[in-house]
This record gives sequence, structure tokens and C-alpha cells, in this order.
Amino acid sequence: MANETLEIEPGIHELTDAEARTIFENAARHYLHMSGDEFLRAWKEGRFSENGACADPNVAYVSMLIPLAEPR
Amino acid sequence: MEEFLRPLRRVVSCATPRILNVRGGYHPSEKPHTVLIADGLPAPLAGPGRLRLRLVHHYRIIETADERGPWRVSTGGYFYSLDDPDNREIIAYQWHPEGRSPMQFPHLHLGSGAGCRREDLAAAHCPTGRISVEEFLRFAIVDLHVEPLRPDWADVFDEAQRNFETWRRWP
Repeated sequence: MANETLEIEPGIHELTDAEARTIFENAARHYLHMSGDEFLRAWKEGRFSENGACADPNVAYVSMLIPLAEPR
Repeated sequence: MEEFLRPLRRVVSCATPRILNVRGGYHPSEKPHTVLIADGLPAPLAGPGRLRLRLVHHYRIIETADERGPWRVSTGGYFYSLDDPDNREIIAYQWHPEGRSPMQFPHLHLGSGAGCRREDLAAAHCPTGRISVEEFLRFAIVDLHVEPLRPDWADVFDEAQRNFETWRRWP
């Protein structure tokens, strides 16, 4: 069934859509003090870039979590 | 997939008991799948430095005709970092070929936790080869004195590194 909590095996867990989104949201708030939606807007608008690169390592990290926020 | 996730879990378990969370997982997809440690917040590591680990890995499942087919796992990017107890990044190995950044080669950053006095070096994207999780965690254990959680960590890393070097498509 879609989005049932799934333990692939001990120590490995497949995230539901809700769990994935929560992780992304919490990471955006923890590292950048903004909501996940605010981060995604700013990211798409290129507001974090300096000369095309991210100056803030926390931005780089949260950007790697963007797939958690996107629908599968 | 099990041949990718299970060894990765073994390697990571040498440094932290936190679980691996997987998003996407088992099917071919244009978008990369993601694996990360627990909730994505820094995982505390044992050892005198009280370092903290962040690890995110993107991968795809690709059809292949080689002997390990019909499917193989291809890395799509990674972010491996160690932070100090005050959450300042010390060092981060990154590869994000699909992001916005023009820095699409594997590289490392020295963060504010490294105490780097040169502004140019602190901002630099230092080129590296592709770094495996086990190479990164071995560095953390051997050079930064992270205490391994398993007595067989070196054997676990050696086996994983052999597999990584056998099956990677580029260095």
C-alpha cells in the first residue's frame, strides 16, 4: 500500500511522503531558520547564489534534501 | 538495491547507530533517490572531538548489461560533512552535478570549524576525486579520532571500498 511505513531491514527505513517532507521542513528550519516552502522559493529564484555557487554550507546541505520535498 | 543499501548501512553503523532513511528507493526514476542519516540533523559521533556527522547520498537505479545486471546503482551526488560540537562545519566533501552550482566536480570545503585563516581557502571548492562513504568515515576515524562503534570497522570499510572500486564507472 502506498505510503505505509516500510522497514526495508533493520537500520534502513523507507520514508513515506509525509515523513520525507517533515525531514525537509525540519532541516530548513534548523539550518536556515525558514520554512521548507520559503527555502524552495528562494532556491528557485536563485537567491542563495553568489557567483553561481552557494556561500553558505547549510544552504548546500538543505539543497541536497530537496528530493524529500518533491512528490514522487 | 539491497547490495547497495545493506553495505552502506554496515559502513555507517561503524560511526553512528542512527538509521538510514531512504526516499524513493527501488525503481528506475529520472529523479534521484535519496538516502540520509536519520532525520537529517547532525548525528553525534563518539570520540574526544564530539564531532557531528551529516550524510546525504543521491542515487539512481539504471539498467545495465554488465555481469551485475540487469540493474545497477549509480551515484548521483553526495554531501558528507563533519561539524564541531558548536555545529560549525569543519570539512565537507560534496558532489552535486545536478544542482545550480557551476561546481559540478567532486570537491571539499573547509568550514569555519576548521579554523582556516585564509579567506580564499575558506571559500574554495578544492577538487577531489570521487569519495566513498567508507573513505570519508575512515578519515574521520583515523585522522579526526572519531571512535568507531564496531571492532571490525576496518574490515567493513575494506570490503565496501573494494566493491566501490570494482563497480564505479569513474574515479
